[in-house]
Amino acid sequence: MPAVTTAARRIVTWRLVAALVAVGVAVASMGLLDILLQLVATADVLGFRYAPTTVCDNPVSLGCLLSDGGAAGAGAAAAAAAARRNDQPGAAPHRAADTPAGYNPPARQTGFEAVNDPTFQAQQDQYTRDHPDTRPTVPQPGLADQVANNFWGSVRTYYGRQQ
Amino acid sequence: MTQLEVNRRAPDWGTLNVGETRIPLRLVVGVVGGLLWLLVMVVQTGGEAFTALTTNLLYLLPLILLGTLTRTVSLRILLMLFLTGAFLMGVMLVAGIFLAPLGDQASGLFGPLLEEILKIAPVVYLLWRWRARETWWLGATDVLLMAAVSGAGFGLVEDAHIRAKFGWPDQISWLPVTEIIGGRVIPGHAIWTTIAGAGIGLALMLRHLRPAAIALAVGGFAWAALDHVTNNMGTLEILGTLSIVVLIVGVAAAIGIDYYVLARPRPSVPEFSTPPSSATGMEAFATRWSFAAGRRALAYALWRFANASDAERGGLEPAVDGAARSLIERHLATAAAAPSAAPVSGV
Repeated sequence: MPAVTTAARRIVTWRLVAALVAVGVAVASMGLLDILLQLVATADVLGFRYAPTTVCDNPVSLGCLLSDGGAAGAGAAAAAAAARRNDQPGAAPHRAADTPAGYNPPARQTGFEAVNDPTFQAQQDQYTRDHPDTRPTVPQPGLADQVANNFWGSVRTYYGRQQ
Repeated sequence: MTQLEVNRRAPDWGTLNVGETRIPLRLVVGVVGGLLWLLVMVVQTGGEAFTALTTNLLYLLPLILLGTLTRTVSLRILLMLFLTGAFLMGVMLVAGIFLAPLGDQASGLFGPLLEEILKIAPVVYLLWRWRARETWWLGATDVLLMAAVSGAGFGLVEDAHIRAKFGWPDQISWLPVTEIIGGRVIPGHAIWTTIAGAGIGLALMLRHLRPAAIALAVGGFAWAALDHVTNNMGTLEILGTLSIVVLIVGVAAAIGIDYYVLARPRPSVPEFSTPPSSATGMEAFATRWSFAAGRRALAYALWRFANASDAERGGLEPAVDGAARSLIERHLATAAAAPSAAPVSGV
């Protein structure tokens, strides 16, 4: 065991400890980056908005990861409902169920461009007012297919190309 | 077990039931086989095996921690690749018997090349095997981590035997998996394979930029092989130091591009979010983690779909559809099972 002890002393240097702390800081800073992106989402900085798809739906948010499932309280539910109605800054305006019929986005339109497209925004808002969320409250056969089809409709709109 | 993990497993061998937990038999066989190999190493090298294990884990754990918010690949798959890498060191020992007649060329040229190929082979095999769907769910971080653990498993066994025979050289103090001999930094197997994996991972994310993607995939492996060969031949000492720089750049680029892709807006439906659940503690965290990983997988697939040509999009549709349906179906099932299952589409 002396060999192991000697090796352990050589391995655990202050530089290694510093490196591990740096890793911790780097991981924590990713959480901070997420918070900054959320701030940008409400501030419309530099001509574009970061648009998280729904509340706590960001896959790189440590805060969401640690809190969203457990925060099924009234606040989170209300925020989610608000996001579904798209009346919350930063909420995605491009879900299939909310996509105005007949709207034809430019070819190769990126996400940021779609968010900033005033025509799309206006049609989106009108469509949301005319079509309140009427999803069933109890799972029904075929619902998964229906949701998946809606998603694909949204994908085609979002990434569509002029033929 | 998440749907992603289920999909990533090969046809079932059956399960071993321990209480309410069902453990896949192939996992048991794989882990026991791998651990037997490691046990033989411990018997042969004594305490140096634990030292080598420590240095390699001190490299892997921070790397996995850094990739926490961008990876989708499970720790279970990383463990399997780690053990596969350790096993492949045995394959290399057998191959070495046949290379021995080549003399210096064996240890200087063919040996390192064969070692680099063996270490990255399990990753390339999985990418090929998953080519219909699962490969397109992976981010650059995933491929980098898969390569890193394979290389670390391989390096662990070699390090233990070399250190048991020749003792301990100097090392970069914040990166104890490295060695410094005669002024040359020797990054070691884990780092070399990480560089090769970073190249492949970045190439898969930038597959729409064909020339750059090919250059990255080939370049990462070529750099690792070049440093390894020149190290064994005792030339171009600067490459060892540069490899550490390449490693840092590769890790930063892999995590950076994944972060960029994940932060971009994309089509969504409320069913992609984590549903309300009565689970608490680790079970609740596991649910949230599985949905977060699923959303990342979908984001990576959508990124490739969005950048693909019309002709290529058809081939990527199963990956996008599979990731989306996995989230939707699990959301609906979980929400329906929750006590307050009122809005199935809510968060």
